[in-house]
Amino acid sequence: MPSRRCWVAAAVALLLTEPPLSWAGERPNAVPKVVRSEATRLVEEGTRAGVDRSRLEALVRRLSRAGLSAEASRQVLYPAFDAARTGLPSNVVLEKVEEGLLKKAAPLALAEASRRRLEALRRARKLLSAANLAPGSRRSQPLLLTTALALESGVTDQLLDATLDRAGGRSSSQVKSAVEAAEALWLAGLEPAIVEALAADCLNRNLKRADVLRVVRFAEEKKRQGMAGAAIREALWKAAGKAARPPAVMPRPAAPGVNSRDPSATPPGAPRAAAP
Amino acid sequence: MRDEREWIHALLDAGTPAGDVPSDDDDARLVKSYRSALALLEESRERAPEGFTASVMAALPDGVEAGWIDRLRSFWPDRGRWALPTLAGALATLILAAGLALFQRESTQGLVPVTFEVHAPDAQRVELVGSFTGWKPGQILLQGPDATGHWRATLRLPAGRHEYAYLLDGREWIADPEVAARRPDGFGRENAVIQL
Repeated sequence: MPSRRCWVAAAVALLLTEPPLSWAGERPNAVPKVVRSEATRLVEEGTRAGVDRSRLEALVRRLSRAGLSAEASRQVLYPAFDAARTGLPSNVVLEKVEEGLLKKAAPLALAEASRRRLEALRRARKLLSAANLAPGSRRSQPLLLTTALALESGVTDQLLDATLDRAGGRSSSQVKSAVEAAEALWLAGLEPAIVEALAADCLNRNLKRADVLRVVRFAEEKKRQGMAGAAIREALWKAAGKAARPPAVMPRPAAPGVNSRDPSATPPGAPRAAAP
Repeated sequence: MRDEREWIHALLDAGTPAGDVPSDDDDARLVKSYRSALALLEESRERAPEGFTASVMAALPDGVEAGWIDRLRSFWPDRGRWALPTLAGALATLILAAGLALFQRESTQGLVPVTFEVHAPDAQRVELVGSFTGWKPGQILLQGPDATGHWRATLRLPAGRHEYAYLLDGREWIADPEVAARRPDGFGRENAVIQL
């Protein structure tokens, strides 16, 4: 009989000290050993490729908490690894994944956004190479990123190619400002030919960043007022006292998802930035 | 014995004994011989010839400037070994200039003040999230609503291109309706794009 009492006491003690297995899933750090080893392998692989380890570890944890399987996490993170392996900035790919996680995007959408970001970076590098702008150098990284984001926004390769072709003799900052202007004007709904012409104007006239921003704001404002692209350009340079010859404007086909907004529904104003 | 030695030392140092001469005969003889030796030494001291000090001073280089020039010259390496110090000096100047330029750029081209404003009269909490926060929530909360239902935040952001969206009550995402440039975010919504 005493031995039975001992067994009962031991069983009670065990129950009190160790929670039941069904609780394990509710503990914050409870990750099955198999999943944990998969995650570790993923982090090791990314680190070997050149991705920042601490950022990757945090991201893998977030992906796991969001319910993504190891395979799904791999699909989401592989573009970042590929970017790092090929000398492209992997941090901007990770940033896209972080944005998607914050917005509670589905695993497939996350993987697709990550892949698209890598694709945009590759296309940007190709464009910069074609324009002899040394896409591999550290100094041209901001221009590479700006070009990639413009491509992601839907700006065509041809338009950016034409802009980058005029970069000769201009500073990296001026070229970057022209590409950013092209993206902003494209998103504002101006015709591609006008966007290209205005971006070229910025480079040909050797405009500094502050002036390029003024060009963009002027064009956006006139577009809101319903002015046509060619008229905007003419008014812009007339206002500057240096009228430019209007370009031969080709009508732009309606770009789905870009020009769908009603310009009259967007009142002018915020965010209001002071002059840099 | 110790007293005697002290007496002798005092005699040699000062020339006059402190206290009485030791009484012991041997010691007295010793003292006598010391005294005669001392007198001999004093007599044999040669005096410097007249004008010796003036001739030494005349032989020294003239003026303070000459001394400084010689001192400066001593820093310059002989036998054409000038390349290393010159290059080191040039490199130090270059590093200093680059550092100053970098510091200038960071301090002058730094941050641009910008005011974000959104109309959300029914919201309890409005956050601003974007590329400038690394898409991390909870860092920038807008103040409001004011009497017209607007929420507002003024920040200083680095010059450049930024993407952002407002998060209302932690669940509803909206792109800034007051900017012309908005782009699909790839997750079924839109982000606003601004250039500063």
